[in-house]
Amino acid sequence: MSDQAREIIENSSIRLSLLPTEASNEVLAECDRSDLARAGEYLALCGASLATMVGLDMTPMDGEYAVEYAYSVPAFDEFIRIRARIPVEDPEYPSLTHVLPAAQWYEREAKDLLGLIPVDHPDPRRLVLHETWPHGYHPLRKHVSAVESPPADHRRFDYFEVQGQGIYELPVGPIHAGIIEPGHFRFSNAGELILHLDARLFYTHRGIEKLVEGKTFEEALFIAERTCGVCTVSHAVSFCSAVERMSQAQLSPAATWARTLLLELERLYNHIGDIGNICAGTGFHLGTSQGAILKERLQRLNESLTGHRFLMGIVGLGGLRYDLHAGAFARALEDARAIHRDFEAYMDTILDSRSFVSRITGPGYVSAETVYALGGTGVAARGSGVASDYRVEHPHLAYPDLGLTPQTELTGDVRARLLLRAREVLDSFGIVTRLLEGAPGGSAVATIPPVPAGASALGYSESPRGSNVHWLMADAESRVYRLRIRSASFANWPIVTRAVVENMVPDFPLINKSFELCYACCDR
Amino acid sequence: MGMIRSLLKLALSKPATVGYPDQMTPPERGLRGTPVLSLDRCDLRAACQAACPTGAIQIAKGTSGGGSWQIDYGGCIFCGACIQVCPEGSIVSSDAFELSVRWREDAVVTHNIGGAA
Repeated sequence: MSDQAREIIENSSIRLSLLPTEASNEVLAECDRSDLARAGEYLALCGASLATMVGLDMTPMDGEYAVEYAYSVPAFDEFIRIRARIPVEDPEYPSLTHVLPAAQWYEREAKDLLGLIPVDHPDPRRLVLHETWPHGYHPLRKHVSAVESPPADHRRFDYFEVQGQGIYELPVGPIHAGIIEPGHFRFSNAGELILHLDARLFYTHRGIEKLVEGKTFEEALFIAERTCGVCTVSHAVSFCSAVERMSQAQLSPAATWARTLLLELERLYNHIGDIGNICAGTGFHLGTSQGAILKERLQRLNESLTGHRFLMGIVGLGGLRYDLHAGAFARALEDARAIHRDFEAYMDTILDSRSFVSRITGPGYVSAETVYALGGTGVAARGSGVASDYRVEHPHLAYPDLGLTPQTELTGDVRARLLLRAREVLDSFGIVTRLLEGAPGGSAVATIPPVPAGASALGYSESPRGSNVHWLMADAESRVYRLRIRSASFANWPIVTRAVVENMVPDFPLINKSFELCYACCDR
Repeated sequence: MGMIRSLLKLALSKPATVGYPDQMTPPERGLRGTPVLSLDRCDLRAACQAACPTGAIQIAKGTSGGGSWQIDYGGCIFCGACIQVCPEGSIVSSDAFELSVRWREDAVVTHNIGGAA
C-alpha cells in the first residue's frame, strides 16, 4: 500500500477494516453495506474511478454474500477495493448508481446473476438474463450447476418509451441487421432525430465466469482469453497478471518484452481495421478496402511471430506458452516499417476526401462529463479529452520504460475517435519497432509459484478498446473461485447509447463503428 | 493530393487478392495449423488427451496393446498443448488450415495404432 492510499483510508470518516492483499498496489477494506455509497462518493472526491464491481457468493466459506467495488486511483497507481458483506436472508444493499452512475450496469448484472438487490437503483430491469430465464434463478450462485438448463420461463421485457405527439419507435434487430454480433436497439425518434436509444445486449452471454469456476488457472486461461476474438492478448494478459499478482511471481525481461510487443501488435491490427470500418460506415469503399489490406498485412505479421493471426494461445502463466519465432524478427521489423509508411500514406488519402471528413465531423459527440460519469475507457474516453490509459496510469510490463503519454482528442465526435486511433497507431508502430530492434535474449516461458488459497487480485491491461480488468479469487485448492471479467466494451456500451442522442438514425452505424465495441466480451 | 496520388498508384498496382481456392497464399512459417500424429512413434500414453483443454483428443486402448488415437478438428482450438506434452514428440503442427468438411463427423480423424498383434 502506498502512503497516499494509507492516508486516504485513514482520513475517511467511514469505518473501514483492512484485509490483507497479495498485490502491492491494492488495498482491500471491508465496510458495512450501508456505508458503500459514502465510500464511493468519498473515493470519487479523492480522484478514484470505478474499475470494476463484483458480486460474490461466499456461502461455502462464511455463509454470506458480498459485493466489492474496486476503484482505480490513477494519480498514484493504486487500486482501492471496498467490500461489504450481505446476509443471505436479506440480500440487499443500497445502490451506488445515484452517486456513481458508472455502477449502473454492474449492479444490474449482480442482481441478475447473483440475486443481490441494489435498493433504489434507478433502472431495476434485467440486464444479462433475457425473457426465458426463470424468476429467482441466479446462475452465479454456488449451488447452481454450470451445466444444467433451467426450465424456460417467459417474462416480459419493457423497453423505455418516449411518449408525445409524433414520436415513433424504430426497432433495429432482433437480433441485428447484417452479420456483425447480436444486439437489439430500440430508438425513440422525433422525425430524423434520435431522442433515446435503449440497447439490449447479452445475447451472447455464454456463462464464461460460471464455466471457469473450479478449474485450474491453466485451464481457465484458455477460456478467459477467448472471451473476445479481437482482444485476446489483452484478456490473456489481464487474467495471467491477476494470477501472477496473487502468487507474487516475477516476470522475466523476455516475458515482459514479449507481452508488451503482443499487446501493441493487437492494438495495431485492431485500430487500423477500425479506421477502415469507420470508412465503411460512410460508404467510402476505397478507405475500407485499403484499411483491410493493411490489417491483413499486420495479421500475417502476427502469424509469422506467433503462429496465430489473432495472437491466441501464446500468452501463458509466468510469461508465454511458447517463445516468439526469433527467426521471424528481422522480417517482421522490415514489414512493420513498410506497413507504417503505407499507413501514413493511407491516412493522407482518406483525410484528403472532403466529403468523408465532413461526414465524420460532428456525429456521435460525447462530452468528457459523460465519460467521467459513466466510467468510459480507452478510445471512447480519450476521444473526449479524458487522458485515461492504463499503460500510463497503472504502469506495467515494459510500458514504464517506453515514455508513453496518453493521446487525446478534444472534440468527442467520430472524427476525434478516428484521428485518435491514427495517432495511437503511430505510437504503437514506434513501440513495436523499438521492441523488435532490442529483443532481449532468454526464454519467456516460465512457471509461477503456487497461488495462496483464498487469495484475490485484479489483473489489467489496456486493450485497443480500453482497459480490460479481471477480478480473480482463488479457492482453498488454489483453483478459480470467482472471476469477474470487466471488458472495455462493458464499460463503454452505456456511452454509445448517450452518443447517438440528437443524431440522425442513418448516423447510428457510423457512430457505433467509431466505438467499435465488442458484443461477445461485453456479454461473456 | 493524397487521394489523387493514391488512386494513380492503385491504378498501376496488381490486385491484392488472389483467386482462392485455385490460387493459395502460402501460410507463414511456424503457423500453428492442425496437430497431426506421427503413427510410428505414438505409444498411447494419453498425455495429449489429458492436456487437451477442449477434450478433442480421445484415446482408446485395445486389449492386445494397440488402440486408437482420435482427434476432433471441430473441437480443436489450435493451442498446441498436445504437441507440448507428448513425451515421444509424435504430434506435430502441420501448416494445414482449411478445416471445412461436408459432414460434421468428417472433422473427426481416427488413427488405429497397432499393438502386439
